[in-house]
Amino acid sequence: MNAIDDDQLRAHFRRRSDVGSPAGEAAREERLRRIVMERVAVEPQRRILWRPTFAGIGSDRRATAAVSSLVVAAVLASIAILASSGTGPQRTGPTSSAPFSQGSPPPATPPVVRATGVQVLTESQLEEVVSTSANVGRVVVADVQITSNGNPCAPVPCSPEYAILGEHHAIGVDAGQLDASSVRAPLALRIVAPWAVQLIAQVGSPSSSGVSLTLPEYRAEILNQRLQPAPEGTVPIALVVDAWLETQVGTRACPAEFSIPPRLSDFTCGGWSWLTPSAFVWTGEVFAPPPGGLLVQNLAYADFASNPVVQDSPPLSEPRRGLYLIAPAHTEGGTCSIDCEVPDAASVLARIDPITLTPSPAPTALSSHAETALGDFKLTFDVPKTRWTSSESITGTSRLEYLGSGPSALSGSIGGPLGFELNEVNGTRNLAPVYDDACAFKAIDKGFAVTAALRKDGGYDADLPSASFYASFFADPLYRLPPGDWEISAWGDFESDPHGCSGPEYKLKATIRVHVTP
Amino acid sequence: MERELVEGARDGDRAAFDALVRRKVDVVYRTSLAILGREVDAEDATQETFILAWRKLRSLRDPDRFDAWLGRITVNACRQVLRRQRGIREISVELVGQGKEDRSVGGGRSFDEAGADADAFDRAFRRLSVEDRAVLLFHHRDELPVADIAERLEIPIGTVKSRLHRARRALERALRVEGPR
Repeated sequence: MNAIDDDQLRAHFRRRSDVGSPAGEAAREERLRRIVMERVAVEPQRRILWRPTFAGIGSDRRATAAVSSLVVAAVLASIAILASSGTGPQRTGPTSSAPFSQGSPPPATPPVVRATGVQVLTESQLEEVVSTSANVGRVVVADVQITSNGNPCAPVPCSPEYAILGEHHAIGVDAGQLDASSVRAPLALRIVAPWAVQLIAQVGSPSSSGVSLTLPEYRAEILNQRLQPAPEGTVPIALVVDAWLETQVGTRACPAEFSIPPRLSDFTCGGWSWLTPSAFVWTGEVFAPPPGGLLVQNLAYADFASNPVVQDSPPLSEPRRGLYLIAPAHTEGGTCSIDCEVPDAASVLARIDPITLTPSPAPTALSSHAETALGDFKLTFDVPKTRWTSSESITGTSRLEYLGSGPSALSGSIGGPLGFELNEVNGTRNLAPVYDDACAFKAIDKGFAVTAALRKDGGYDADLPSASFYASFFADPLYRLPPGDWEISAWGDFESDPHGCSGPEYKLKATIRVHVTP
Repeated sequence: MERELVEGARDGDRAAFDALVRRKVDVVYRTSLAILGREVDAEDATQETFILAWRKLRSLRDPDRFDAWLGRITVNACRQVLRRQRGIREISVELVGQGKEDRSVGGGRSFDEAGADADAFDRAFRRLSVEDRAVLLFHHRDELPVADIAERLEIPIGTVKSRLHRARRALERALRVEGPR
């Protein structure tokens, strides 16, 4: 028998926990405590939303302002040239969903769209969202913390790696040029693969309500200098605005007489894109910036508008309303020397679409059906009725279903992933499922499902106060319970990993409450 | 006294949290070291444990459960440290394992026959998941009741029992592969 006894185990654990000399131990403890408290000194405790301030965002505000002045000058000069050229295309102003129509007169004062709420995911919701390949490519805002342990390759220097430590899983983070031990939530994250996200920006909000900004509110943030461009190579701080995104069809060459800074070329030459407070209506041939419009990079419409529609002849495009994540391209306001209203420009970083989340599973009072889902897996549990007598044998069926569209895998107990738990409501009697230690593997594909009939599951210690109950329960060939309220849960406990038992761990639980009478 | 510190830290009192760190840094570090096996990893996990604890303290409902709550965070931090190093570690473990398997196949040298040594145990222990390492540690080193282990690992009591059995067998299998040189 190949075994290691308890004494050997204890000895090994004592050895592995040996921290060396008392003096060295004390020094280490003090060093760790100091490091921790230095980080705690600048770490807020978790809160829902974070309001950005200009302190600490930019390290060289003077240089930024100088560049910004150039940016404003170039943008305004470029607009002046184009406004006088008389070659601007006509536009019409459709709604986001209505068919394209032409000829509507421009509103004198465009109504400002009402700001809508931004969906801010919790840690567990983010885990759910990133667990499925269906959400790859989407951008979400989440109230989570990214952490790093500095140099993961120590003693060899290498780039730090980042992760979000979820309640159940860790999510890998591509943090780009981030050079910090942590960033603050909420964060805008692009899902690049299951369990992997890319950090796009830290998201600020002017209020604690999680409501997006209108364009005037965004502009006020800029003019109040509460939001500045992030220095090159750092994570931008961005705001979410509820606005319309549209583009000017056609390509323009840069005016030869102007020298455009490289970072500005994205905003000047080529077709222009704008964020506007309402669906803008273009009229006449003379180009003019839309009222209240915010200039964004030329390709913003093509990159971020939902289902962008552009036609070349006549040159038209269809505005799209959405929640857009934007960061300032420069901060200086400026007076427009011509007939325009372009106080600033911004970069659109992403469009934030609402994402469908599975309702949190909760015991359903006297419902004969329960279900829960995580990632590509759904667990259901059904019983024929919720009221039983103590002489009846309770029956039920659980079903684990794979919702994915491609091949996947199940690994874990050789008895299968399904188990059952029993809990006495307002009592202490509990039996939890027991899984064997095998790492059984099963390849699965679209449409796979496994079912199990309700069975007695679990184990107990003979010295427990309720041991006699457990003994009689297991001795009974039927699934019968004493009078009272009981919760019976179906469990799906497995890992989804084609290489064995080291992949993402799934624990699904669907609970039904039954009432047992004498 | 400790309850007051926890409550104070939960309300944002950094001095109270500092006092908690002084009290708990030793046990967190020792647990991390036992799970991870390398001092540098244990220090990383210890730091992350307390940073996460500070950030999440407001979610702790019962201050009297602070130790169990901190233990859960410690295990998660250890898991994260290992995940970060997975690419590097897996290669080295695999290479070591291949050599060992070559010797053990057909040789039939059991763990008992060869006797355990520290290196073999550490290599075998490294093959276990963090959850399996933690459940063995809490049970055999700390001698925690099953209910306390269940709370630390956020799993049902029955699962603790089955996992203990599974982890023990997994360790024994790993020892057969990694048997003493």
